[in-house]
Amino acid sequence: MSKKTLVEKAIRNHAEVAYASELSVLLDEDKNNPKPLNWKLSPRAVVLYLVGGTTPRGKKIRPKFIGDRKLMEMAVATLAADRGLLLYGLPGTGKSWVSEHLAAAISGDSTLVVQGTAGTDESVLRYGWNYQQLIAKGPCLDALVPSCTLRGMQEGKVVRIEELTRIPSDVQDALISIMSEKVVAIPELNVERKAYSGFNIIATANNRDRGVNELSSALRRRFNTVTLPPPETLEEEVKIVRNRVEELGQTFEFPTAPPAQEELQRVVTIFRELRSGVTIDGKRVKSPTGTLSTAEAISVVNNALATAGYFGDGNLSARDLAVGLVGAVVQDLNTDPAIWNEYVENVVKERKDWDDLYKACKDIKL
Amino acid sequence: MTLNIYGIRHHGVGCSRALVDALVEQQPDIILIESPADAQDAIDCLRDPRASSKLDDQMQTPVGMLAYETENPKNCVISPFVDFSPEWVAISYGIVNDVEIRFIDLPSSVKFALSRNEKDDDNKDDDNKDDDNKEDDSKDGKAETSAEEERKDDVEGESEDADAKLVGEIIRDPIGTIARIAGDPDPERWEERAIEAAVKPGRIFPGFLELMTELRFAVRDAQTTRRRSESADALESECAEGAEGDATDATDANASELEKLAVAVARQTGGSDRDLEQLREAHMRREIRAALKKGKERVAVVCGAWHAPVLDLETTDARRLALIPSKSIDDKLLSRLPKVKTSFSWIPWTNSRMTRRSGYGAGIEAPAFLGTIWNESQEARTLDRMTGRTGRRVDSDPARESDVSFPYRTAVVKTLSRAARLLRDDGGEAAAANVVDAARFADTLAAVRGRANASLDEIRDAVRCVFCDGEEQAFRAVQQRLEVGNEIGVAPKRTTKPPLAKEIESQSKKLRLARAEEERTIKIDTREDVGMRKSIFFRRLNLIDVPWATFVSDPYARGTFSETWTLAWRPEYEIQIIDASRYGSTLLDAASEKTLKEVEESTELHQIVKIVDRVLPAKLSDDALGKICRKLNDVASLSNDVLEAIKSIPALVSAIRYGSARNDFQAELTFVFEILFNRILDRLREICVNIDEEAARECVDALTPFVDAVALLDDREKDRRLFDAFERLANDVGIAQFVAGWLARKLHGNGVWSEQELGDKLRFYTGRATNPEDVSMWLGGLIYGTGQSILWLQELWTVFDEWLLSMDSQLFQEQSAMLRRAFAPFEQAERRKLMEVVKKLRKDDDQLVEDQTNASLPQEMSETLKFILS
Repeated sequence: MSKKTLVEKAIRNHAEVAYASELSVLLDEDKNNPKPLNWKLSPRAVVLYLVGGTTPRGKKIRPKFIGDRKLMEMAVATLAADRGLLLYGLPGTGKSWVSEHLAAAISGDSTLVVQGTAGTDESVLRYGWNYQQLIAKGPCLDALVPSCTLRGMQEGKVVRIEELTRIPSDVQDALISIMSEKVVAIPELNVERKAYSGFNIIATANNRDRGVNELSSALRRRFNTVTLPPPETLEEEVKIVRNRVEELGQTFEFPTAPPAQEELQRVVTIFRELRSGVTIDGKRVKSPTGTLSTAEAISVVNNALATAGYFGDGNLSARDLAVGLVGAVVQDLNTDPAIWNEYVENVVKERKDWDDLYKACKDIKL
Repeated sequence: MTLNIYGIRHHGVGCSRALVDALVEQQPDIILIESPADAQDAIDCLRDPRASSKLDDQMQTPVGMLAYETENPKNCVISPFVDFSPEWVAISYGIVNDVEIRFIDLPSSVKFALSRNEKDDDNKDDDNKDDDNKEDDSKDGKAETSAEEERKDDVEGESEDADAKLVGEIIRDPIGTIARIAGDPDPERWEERAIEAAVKPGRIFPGFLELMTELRFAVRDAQTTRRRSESADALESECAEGAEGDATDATDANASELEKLAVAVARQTGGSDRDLEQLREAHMRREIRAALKKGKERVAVVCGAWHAPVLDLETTDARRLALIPSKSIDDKLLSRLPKVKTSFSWIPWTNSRMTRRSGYGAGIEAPAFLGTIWNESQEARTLDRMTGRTGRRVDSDPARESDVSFPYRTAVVKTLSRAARLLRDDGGEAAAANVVDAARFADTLAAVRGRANASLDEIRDAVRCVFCDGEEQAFRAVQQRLEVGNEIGVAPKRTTKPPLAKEIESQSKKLRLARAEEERTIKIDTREDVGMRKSIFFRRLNLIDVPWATFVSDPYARGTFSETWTLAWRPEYEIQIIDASRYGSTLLDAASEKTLKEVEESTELHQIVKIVDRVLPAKLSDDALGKICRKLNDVASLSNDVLEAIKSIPALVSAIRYGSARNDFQAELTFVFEILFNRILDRLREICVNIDEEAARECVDALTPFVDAVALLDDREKDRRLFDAFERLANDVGIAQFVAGWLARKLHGNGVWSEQELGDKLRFYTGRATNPEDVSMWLGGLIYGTGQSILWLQELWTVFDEWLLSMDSQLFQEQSAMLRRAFAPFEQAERRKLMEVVKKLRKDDDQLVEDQTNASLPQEMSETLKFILS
């Protein structure tokens, strides 16, 4: 067992910890650039951090977002112009990922997160009470439990709200006055808490879920919406998968050789074809019920690496991929198995170098 | 004596602004403009007829100057102008300040002649004696250079092409190319920045001049390196005749010698673009020299930036002088140039056409946006004060005077606010508060991208992000109106109209048709001469895409001689007519040419048939009709698509029936009809098998007008053959049931099948223990598009009823949706009638199935049915 500190042992560190070296380099070179009040980095440095590249002094920055640079520029400009940012798009396109890195780069802290669920109530957006103190001392500041939104406001940091549309509408609307007036009133104590520069909100929302509470138009117009599209080309998506798989590989330390480019391309091709309903040769195929997002492709490859490492011979094989693939594609047992079988027979079987994958897929009984 | 060369970018707002200031400062006594010299007289059309120092008050940009070959108007070039075109600014300034204006570019008469000769080169046309020498040289030169080029191609091929391309781009739009190289995709913004950097407005043009000079040297070096090897060979061939100098040692050669060489080689190799450029520049220099000789003290020259360095005749810089050919070379170049008779005309133009390529090269992407910037500028207001136009301006703002980038920033806000308004007009939501947010966002975005001012890119992103919730579609819906705009110009009163426009106008006068914008409907009788002429006139106009009159089909009209047309004139039609000028100078010619072109380009049978149908009543020339029919014949014979053929029949039949007076064409059309008809009958089955519901519907939708059309021909033989084929098909179990049902109805409707037989058919289907889906589809086809007559088929409904009752509840549930869909075409009233029919049927039968939950018939009926059945 290697000697690792508690921090290093964590499966996933916050962005500001995992990429601390990059951030400090950027901070260093950013000293003379103008920054909005309470921002750690200048807007241009934040964009550089997100899309990757080389700093003026030559240090390489890994890309966190692989796609159209303009989207990142718009996201950063939104926050710099003091508007709320709503990252919108299909599942698995990197919204939460981008949100985390934005917060890390701008405020140096990505931990102020509100996770939206159907059970989210107002205390998560405003404040709650420590009931023991409340009963003992009555309403007073000691008894107040500030939400992370309130903390973000007071510390001038970026607050992240994940899955905004899952939050019930009446709770969502509490955001309206926070965003326009930048103040939270605490009527019980007859005080208010103002927000300080640097406070902003990054929200993410899915456009494909059931049980979605659409934002009221009053709330919607306080946000700038940036839609993150699914990766446009095969190459882009393979790049994303490769990047992430490599990073995760370092964390998990699978006893496996890193996956070959062809393997990744196979997985991503299958995902893209099923997702879009048409193969690269132009044949039509039915799309299964699942979303088959890039994030799922990453999991499939990871699964395969783990299987290969722990149950196989350390080399990624088609068998390892097949199990993960089936798991990702077949979600609804009524319709998806037929679709998957059709795809395997009509597409996988026809491809020249895909014999091993075909055999492996046939072996899995549905 | 001063000679100021103002090298501008065509339609460049920044250049126009700087030009206004420069002219005001220089107070020129003559303005020379890069426009064709033979269009000189057209300037007068722009003057107010009552006061030559005023602009025609009817005139509104965008306008264009149309130059066309008088005998052959198809050859034409349009040079468009908007308010912020520097040439337009120069002309306006000159007119209102009583300054002499001269156009100094190569005459269009020469340009047309040269381009015609280029085309005739291969044909060895002797139109112009002058070209004989040129042609001989070019033939030899070509032989040399092609061998040389083949050798070099392997080595330098690609980089050469890239270089040549870049050179071409630089010549066409030097400032734009530089802006792109400098990393700014927006040349307007780059231009603004260049101007902001200048303290005094007069300094921008010297700056551009220097820039272009350097660019010229760079391009010339690149070209010379290439030409050196070419000219080495060319020279070798001349060496025998004692040509001077060896090109390969020409590194130290006199720059003007090199230039001479370049000129000579260019003429030899027939590099037309460069050749033309050099002619143009030589001509402009000649005009400048003439003006100086005339004794003008303050000469202003407005030309494209690329030409500026070689027009600066008074420069004292030796290096620059080396670029400028001498008077003798120029005279030699301009000697014995061919000409053709050319006419000019001012025409209205539109903002959307400004985006097109024109005589000036690439169009401008966003005329409305640029117009906003111009309107907000101080310089525009200065010009307005001079020309006396006050209509479009707003009250003065002190910031406007002091801040060079004021128009830019105001334009951003105005455009965003216009975007919000457009979105609201479309029914979307775009609050005014959002406009403020969007403006701030655009500015911040510009800062993040390292740009001094927000521009079109940032505006687009802001509209998408802030107003459209990130959706691309919503943005695209307003983009055209926002960036391009709907402006239509008005030509000055005094201009002569181009021939086609003239002819159309005179015909409208003869036919007493006034151009009114309000709609009105007229009826004409084509048995009368006037009526016939009107009909033909309208149809020909429609063929050149001028829908001034639209045909209204009148169900009550008896016979085909009575026609109803709706007339409504739109200003765009004038421009459409000008566009159509390239097809001919008379309406008949233009309509024929355009239609022929369309026919040539179409590959689909039914497209061509539709064209034939439109063309016959327009009475085009026999020649044109003949060509069209021949093409129709060809395509019909080669086409394999049965569905296409079916879709083409209705229009073809209509054409045949119309053409009954013209025997020769009718024969051709009938021949085509026979081919198609036979093909359809032979292969009808093909389109009815293995198709899904949607395709089946499509098939029936095509067959319905087909059957009606064939009936119109009133040919017993054909009808019989058709229904024989239908019957064979209807009995074929392999075809789609929807189609089979429809066929059954048609057969019944035409008396081929009795009601009994129809019932038998249904029994046949329901009897089979297979897919009830088939039955539903069959019924769907039966009912599709039908009237009430089907309701009274007792036999049919009895069988249907029996079948329904025979189904178990689960099967019934599954089928109910399908059956509902089958009955969907029925209207409410029809459904009620059906209910009554069912009631009558059920009256005698008490046996019910308890589980009959939902009726296959529409929801409203289910309760009633329950009531009946309970």
